[in-house]
Amino acid sequence: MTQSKRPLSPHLQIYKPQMTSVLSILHRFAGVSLSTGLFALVYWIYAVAAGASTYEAMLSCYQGIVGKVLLIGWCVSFFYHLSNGIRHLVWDMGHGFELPHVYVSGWIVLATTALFSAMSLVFIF
Amino acid sequence: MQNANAKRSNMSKARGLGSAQGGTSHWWHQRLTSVALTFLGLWFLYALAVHIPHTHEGVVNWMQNAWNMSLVLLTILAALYHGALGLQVIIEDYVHTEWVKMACIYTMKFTFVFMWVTTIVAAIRIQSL
Repeated sequence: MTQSKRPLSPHLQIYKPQMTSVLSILHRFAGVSLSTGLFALVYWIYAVAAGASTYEAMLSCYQGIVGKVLLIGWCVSFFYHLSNGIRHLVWDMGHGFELPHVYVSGWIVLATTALFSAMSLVFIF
Repeated sequence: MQNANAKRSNMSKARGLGSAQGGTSHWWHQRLTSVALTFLGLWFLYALAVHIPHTHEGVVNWMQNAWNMSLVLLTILAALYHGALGLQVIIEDYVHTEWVKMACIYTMKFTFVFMWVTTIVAAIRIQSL
């Protein structure tokens, strides 16, 4: 296909960020973040199979500062993607499309994410 | 390319460029795995935080329980499948050159299949540790 030189819609550079659009793109970012977390998940079961020394090496990875930052990132991504995913499933069933409801469910998603992420901090540290 | 296409009929040029008719099952599988992962994901994090021992011997014992290993494998399988479906949509949305798009999707999917094989081989080895 020939590439057209016309600007593509939506024009993100002149678009005012709104809660609806920001939460929507965050769902994708969280999904990509969780996909990278899958490597860590598979590394975990691989390390258990590979023996005690590999397992200890993996544990010390996650006890370092970089490991902890990654774990926190994956936890926040998980709880955000989970609660916003449930919001999407409710939409799929045809509920909650009124604009005020969209904002209320958006704030519920953010509050849930903050609460569960804070709880997970206890286990990471 | 233009010369090669000149003698082709309109029907021949259009063939293969339409929908692959797989959209509905893609969408549905994404929803099914999301519902499964709601439970499996929360169970896994809970187990990791509360039940799974931190020593190598402890975690091996925990995984040699058939229920635990089954749920771990279901969690990883559902997560890999859900992730592959989601990443495919993202690639299709942002990569517009056909061959680059296909290369990205196949590379991503082969990587995910490789991770699943690694998981299975690891699971089998853990049973004999």
